[in-house]
Amino acid sequence: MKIGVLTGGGDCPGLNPAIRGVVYRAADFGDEVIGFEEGWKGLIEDKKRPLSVKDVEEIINYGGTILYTSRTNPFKEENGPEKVIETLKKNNIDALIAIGGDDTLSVALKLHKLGVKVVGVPKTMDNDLSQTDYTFGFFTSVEVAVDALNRLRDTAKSHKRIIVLEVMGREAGWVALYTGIAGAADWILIPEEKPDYDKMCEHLKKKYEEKGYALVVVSEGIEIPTDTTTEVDEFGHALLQKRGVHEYVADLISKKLGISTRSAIIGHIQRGGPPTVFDRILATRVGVKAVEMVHEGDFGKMAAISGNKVVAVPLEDAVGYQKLVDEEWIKFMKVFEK
Amino acid sequence: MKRIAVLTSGGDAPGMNAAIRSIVRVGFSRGLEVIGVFEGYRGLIQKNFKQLLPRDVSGLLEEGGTFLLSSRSEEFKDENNQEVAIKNLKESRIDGLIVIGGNGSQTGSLALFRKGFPVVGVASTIDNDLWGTDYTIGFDTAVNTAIEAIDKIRDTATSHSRTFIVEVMGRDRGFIALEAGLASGADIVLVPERKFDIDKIVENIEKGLEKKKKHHMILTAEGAIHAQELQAKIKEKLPELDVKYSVLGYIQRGGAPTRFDRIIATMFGAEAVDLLMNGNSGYVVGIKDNHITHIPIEDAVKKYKEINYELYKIIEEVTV
Repeated sequence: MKIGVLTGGGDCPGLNPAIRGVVYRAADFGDEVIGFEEGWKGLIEDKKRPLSVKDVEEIINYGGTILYTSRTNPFKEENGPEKVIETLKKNNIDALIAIGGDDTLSVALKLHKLGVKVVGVPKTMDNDLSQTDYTFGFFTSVEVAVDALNRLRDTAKSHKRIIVLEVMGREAGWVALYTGIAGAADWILIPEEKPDYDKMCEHLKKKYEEKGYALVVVSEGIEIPTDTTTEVDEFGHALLQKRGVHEYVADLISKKLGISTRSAIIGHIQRGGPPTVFDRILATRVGVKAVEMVHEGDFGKMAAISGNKVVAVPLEDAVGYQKLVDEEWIKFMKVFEK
Repeated sequence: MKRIAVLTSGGDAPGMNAAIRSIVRVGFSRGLEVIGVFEGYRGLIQKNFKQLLPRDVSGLLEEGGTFLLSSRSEEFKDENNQEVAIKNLKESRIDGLIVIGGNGSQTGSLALFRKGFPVVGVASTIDNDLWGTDYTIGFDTAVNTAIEAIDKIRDTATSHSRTFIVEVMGRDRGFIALEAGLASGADIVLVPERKFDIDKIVENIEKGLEKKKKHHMILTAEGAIHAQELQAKIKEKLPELDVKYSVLGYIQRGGAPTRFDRIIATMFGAEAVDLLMNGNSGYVVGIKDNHITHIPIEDAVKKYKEINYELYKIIEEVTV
């Protein structure tokens, strides 16, 4: 068999171990693996290279993706889907493994409906993909965020300040929630919950009086009144960098409480770096599973984690539904607001 | 000399705690009482003093920040406050003071010294901008933190074939940007000390693109140009280019000190105690050519420390 593989969307730690898992398992079946470069763009423009075990042997600890990535959406390009199908035919690709988040997998689903034999491997740092308990990349990014929060604690303590840390998460607050809990923040703001700034300030004041500093973690995606976002990418996502959520929240706190408040943003640091052990194993498992799905003819599905088992779930059920922080988690979060 | 006091002032730097620990323990070993002054110069004015014993500083070696707390020393520029501080020190029968901090803090210690109070400074600032010392406590950790962050960003830059601008701290000086730039393989480094030409940066990127370079990393000190501003300028000339930026900000200040910062902090602290005990006042302790040294405070704060232009040249040569 000849299997194509690509990575699409934002890069995240774990993409390389997933590619490695695909190549290793494919070798068991005597399959040939072709890596398409820069996500869907590689399939539109026929940019590719063969991948052998030797090529991927040592990439398990590399951040990013050796296949490169892009946010190109073939369904937004002229004759995009046709070009993709043509490239697959031209290269005699029997099945395609698409590694990516909601956007990449939605393209995979559409192509599947057009008759392409495709299997998905989910990745997101935001952990907001439904039908899977976890996606690789998430724990590594939370690790980086917790490390940053710990550093900020040093300065907050030394200067008797409140510091606000902004982390990734457009619509889902998982990164903020995990960072806040694991890093012992005093308040967490997530997009799923309407911010109660009065309550937050009251609590921060209390914590500040108790210990002389306080830490807040905020998701980039929370609603703020000064939202002037206009730029959007090819998938219609707002480009968030200019919003300055951390600055807004810090400003609000310092005005309300009169306490010296600073802010920081992690941004792109959170995307890179070597994957944690958890993410390496998780990514390898779903990569291996994807090849097995190809051989079982399980197309139009993705390799997901459910109750620590790797299972095949229909892309139809996963794509387009976001897994948001639910009531139960919010209740859990509130336990630490004291 | 029977009783000395120690304070930390200005921006916190990793290793300040290690220096405090060293002063407390070395002081104790040599039969001195060591008094901690809380919240920097403010604590000196408000008489926020507490005796520190060796066990009070346990576990501090690896802690970032400063457990003595810090404050910006604006109010200490007022001479009346300086008088109050000296009165408070004398009332508490303190014979000498050690000030751990950077330029602003050592300007405060110079004022006390000129008023006749025995004081020794310990060079500590992530900015490394004190004259006469090759390194200050906290600089090495801050540079390492920046490198670690840039390494992560490079993963993304390569994966997306992007140009990335990373902004590091350094309002007036480019020490962090220069060393972090060289050590992380940045293609272009911008420092406040040197003017830059936007056309040359654009040309550099274009050349790289021709050579099929997968990414470009630009490192800028906040005082050279803000990352967002630079992004806009590059976009103006190369509208098609995928340029992103990241501001490291306060994350650079904290964290556990590196081995280098722990060692110099401990050595500086011991040397400061020695100087006071031997009746030497008015110096800042630092390191020169791998030897612990002391510099007159006035020189340390007033003379201009040049950045290492050799590093600059090398950066240009290794990014062909």
